[in-house]
Amino acid sequence: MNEEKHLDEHRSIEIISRMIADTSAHIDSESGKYFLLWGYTTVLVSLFEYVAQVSHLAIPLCLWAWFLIPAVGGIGTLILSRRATATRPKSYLDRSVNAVWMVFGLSFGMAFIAAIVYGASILYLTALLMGMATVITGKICRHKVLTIAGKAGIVLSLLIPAGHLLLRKYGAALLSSGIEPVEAILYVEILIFALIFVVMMVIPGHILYNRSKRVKNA
Amino acid sequence: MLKPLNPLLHSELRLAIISILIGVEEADFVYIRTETGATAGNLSVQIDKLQKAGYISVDKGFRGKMPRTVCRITDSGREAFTEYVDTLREYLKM
Repeated sequence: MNEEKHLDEHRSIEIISRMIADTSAHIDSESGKYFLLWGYTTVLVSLFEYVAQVSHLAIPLCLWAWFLIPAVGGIGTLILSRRATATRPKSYLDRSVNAVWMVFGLSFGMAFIAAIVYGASILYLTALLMGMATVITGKICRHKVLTIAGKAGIVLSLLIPAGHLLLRKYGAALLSSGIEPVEAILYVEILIFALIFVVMMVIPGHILYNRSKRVKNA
Repeated sequence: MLKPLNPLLHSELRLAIISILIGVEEADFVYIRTETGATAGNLSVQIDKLQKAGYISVDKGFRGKMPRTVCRITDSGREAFTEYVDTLREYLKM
């Protein structure tokens, strides 16, 4: 770009439009990666937990695997954001979205304490809070796919307490037919949790990632 | 009679710099250079002109061991850009 080159009005408009559009494309380009990272980590750890618990592996040890989600997700997020901010412009959207996920992290911490102290369902609370943060992120970034996926996650999260309701209602009947109801509900709960993360994070993550790749290559 | 376009912004490279900064909170020198395709020397001169006019602020620091220059648009830069676009609209009767 040449500073001294004669500039007419049409060229001015062209420069303004191109620079604004290119910068927006750069801002958008990273969003899918975070959803893929957290989505796949959660789904894989959940499936591992499901297999481990159904096949009665050493339970105390395998329960620790849940902590792989924040560990892998947190470290991965740090690496991705460091790599991204090296040259990528920082936008107001970034600050808003970061604030949403910071609040989510804090709320998750409180939910975790509630789960330990009062026995609240951590899977339900996680799915619900994650759904809320995803919907807000979708609204801020105007990504319809995230808004829809987040809403779907919130609705699907209701399946987890619904399982507990069924347990209360039909637990005795299940027990009399030889099925351990608490275990059965727990196993199904883990599978539902994994399904929620496929719908809420993995699918929209792939859509956003492919979209940003297309924009970059255009 | 049409208002004259702000001569400080009516330059290809300076207009590109301001157009990048208008949509973001901050942008790195390397990013602006890549986007505009300008040489580092030319870009430094134009950034300096915009900074002296009070349209942008420049922070020089380090990221790890690498030097890093970060540019941000100021309120008067935002105002000048809005005025420039409004004048352009009058020219083009948009």
